[in-house]
Amino acid sequence: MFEGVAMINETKIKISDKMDPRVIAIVIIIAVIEFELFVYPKNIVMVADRDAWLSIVLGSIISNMGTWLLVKLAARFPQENLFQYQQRILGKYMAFFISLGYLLFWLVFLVMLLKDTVAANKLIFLPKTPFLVPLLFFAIGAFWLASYGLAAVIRFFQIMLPFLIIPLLPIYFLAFRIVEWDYFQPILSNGWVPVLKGAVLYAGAIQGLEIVLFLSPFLWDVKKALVPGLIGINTVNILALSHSVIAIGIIGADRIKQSLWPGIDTIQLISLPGFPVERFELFFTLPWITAVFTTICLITYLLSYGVLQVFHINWPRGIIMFMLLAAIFGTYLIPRYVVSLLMRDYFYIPTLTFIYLVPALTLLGAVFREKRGDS
Amino acid sequence: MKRSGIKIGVVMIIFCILFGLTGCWDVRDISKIAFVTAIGLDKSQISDGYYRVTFEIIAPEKLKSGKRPATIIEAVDGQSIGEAIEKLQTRMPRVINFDHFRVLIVGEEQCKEDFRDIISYFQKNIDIALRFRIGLVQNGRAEDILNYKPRFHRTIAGEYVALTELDNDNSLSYGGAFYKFMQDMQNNQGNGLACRVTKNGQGQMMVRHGSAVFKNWKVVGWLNNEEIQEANWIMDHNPTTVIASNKGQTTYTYHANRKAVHINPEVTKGKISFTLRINVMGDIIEQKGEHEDLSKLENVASLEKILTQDIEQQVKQALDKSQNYFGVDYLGLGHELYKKNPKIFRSLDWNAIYPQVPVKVIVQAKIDTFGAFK
Repeated sequence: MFEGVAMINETKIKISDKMDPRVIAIVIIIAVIEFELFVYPKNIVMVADRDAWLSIVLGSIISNMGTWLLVKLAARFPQENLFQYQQRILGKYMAFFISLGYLLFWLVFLVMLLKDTVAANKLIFLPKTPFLVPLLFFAIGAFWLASYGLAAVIRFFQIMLPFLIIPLLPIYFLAFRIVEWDYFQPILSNGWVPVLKGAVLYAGAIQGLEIVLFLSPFLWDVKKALVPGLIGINTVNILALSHSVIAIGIIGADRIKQSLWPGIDTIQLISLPGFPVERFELFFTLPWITAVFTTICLITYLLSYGVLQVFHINWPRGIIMFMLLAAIFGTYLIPRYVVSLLMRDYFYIPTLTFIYLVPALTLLGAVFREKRGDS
Repeated sequence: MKRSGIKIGVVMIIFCILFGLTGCWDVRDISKIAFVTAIGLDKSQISDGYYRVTFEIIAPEKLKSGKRPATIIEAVDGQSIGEAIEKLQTRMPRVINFDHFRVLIVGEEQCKEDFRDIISYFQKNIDIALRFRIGLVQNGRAEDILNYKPRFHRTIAGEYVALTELDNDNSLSYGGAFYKFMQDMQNNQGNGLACRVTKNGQGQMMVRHGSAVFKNWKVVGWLNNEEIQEANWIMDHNPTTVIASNKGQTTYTYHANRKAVHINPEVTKGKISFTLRINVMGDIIEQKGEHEDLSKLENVASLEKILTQDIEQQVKQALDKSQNYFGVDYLGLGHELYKKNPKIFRSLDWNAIYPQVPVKVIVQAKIDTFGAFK
């Protein structure tokens, strides 16, 4: 009933066109890393203070369990995506409403991403340029890429991965030299409760992981995706931990709480006397643009093809364009950036719901009702 | 054929947009930018609550011709720094930019105000990297310091940054980058030290030694170069220190180049005390008077004992200055207690009890070499 023609057609691809399951590692890295490069680890430090690193370590365990859960669910229905098989497990109407929930989740996330992009352009890169101009460039790129389907999006991710990771490595290396380990003491001064809250916040900051549930029809053997999936999520975890250790160890937890974008503040403090580059934010720009643009592309794809599937529409390009315009319009509905930041603070709740809770319940339902897809 | 024509058209439009629109609004022509390298802050004589903001701005023409200083100095009064910058812009034919901002100098009168108000602008301006250096002027105004002619560099900012980069080799001063100063201050509830700047005897050049003492984010006094050297034995700062000790008729100059400080807070029956253990390793770099044979271990041991006593005396003087003269924990003992026992620390009015807290000092000075040094 809810099978949209475009997405279904896309999932019925030839075996020869299917991708190696190892690609899932790249997809997770690219999909999860986005604007947090600037903001991180502010929200966790607000809760767990200087113990935020400990929250990330514990949150990483949750994210690993989440990845295992998503891969297991995807492997049970290797030829279908979540919107297809949840109808058989949860029933048509329940599945319809959950699908609507996912669509709303992606739409709000896309609006927040675009709003963050606007803020970054206004404050750092292009302060005088009307914000719609860079936003339209991002949208045109995302439209072009998403219109070619998920396989094209993933191929693009494979190309972009070095641009995201390589510039970050020297920055982290240089930053570690000036970390003051004293700033991490005392450990657990406020007890375990804030640390555990921080761990939940961290797990709730991993938007994009749900791609695993929509990727399975494109992989030639989903069962082999578990190890790459864990490699992908743990790469993200290591980067997040490094980022947090650097931020806390250089500018301190108090400054992180006051700062708008602690990531930028931290990188500004790196210096290498004698090196021709004085401001290392330059190295941060490329990973940021890469991270934000790729995530925008992915969410645009998920949102547009989700709408096509849920509402039985067979006009992919029109819907992609409509969704992007709706998201751009959505940025006008958030009048102030502080509102967007506040939304980010609470966005962990829908993230936990749609990335951990719903898939967990779906998997449980599939096991109890003995539902399984074609291999 | 028709479809490919449309595609080519779309590509052409995107190409035109990409190359036609980018840079329209955010062109940053270097010849139209005024780079501020240093700011001096003083109390304004216009009205209470106003700043006198002095700017050191790069003058590219002077830079090209090799003149020193290659800057112009402008001063503006304003109720806030932001307002002063706006006023400055009215007299500048270039856009003011803080990408190369490196030094903040604050005059003595302004130092007595809450420092959080002064630094707020610098923390919020995203163009300013928080590794800039600060200097607090004793007996003078920041405006005067910025008007000095730099002797080695093209700008006062360059000269001052170069001075601060020598920190690790000099125990007569204190202070690093702004973000470290802020972190220390936050760790110690607004108590701490910051770099002192003064004029030399003839008032011709700036000298960077000693330190400003902060209590609750306001400067309440100053440490001279001897007092900061004493304090530096305790602080996690400046591993190299040169002291002269007398043994009989001979004066030995000892260059301490390695130092380990262990501050151990103890809580016994609700009473707080500290044990301060300092291990120092260094070289004898100079002898004056009767030259003793330092190749004999007994001579070395007796000299080490004297050095230990002298350093211990300096440490006790530093503690006395902090506890009894200022009553301000700028040495960071409270932070050590907080690190070890945060619950107890939170239950205390630390600033009130700090002057009475007993501190046991244990120093051990060792001589590494005596015949040659670098």
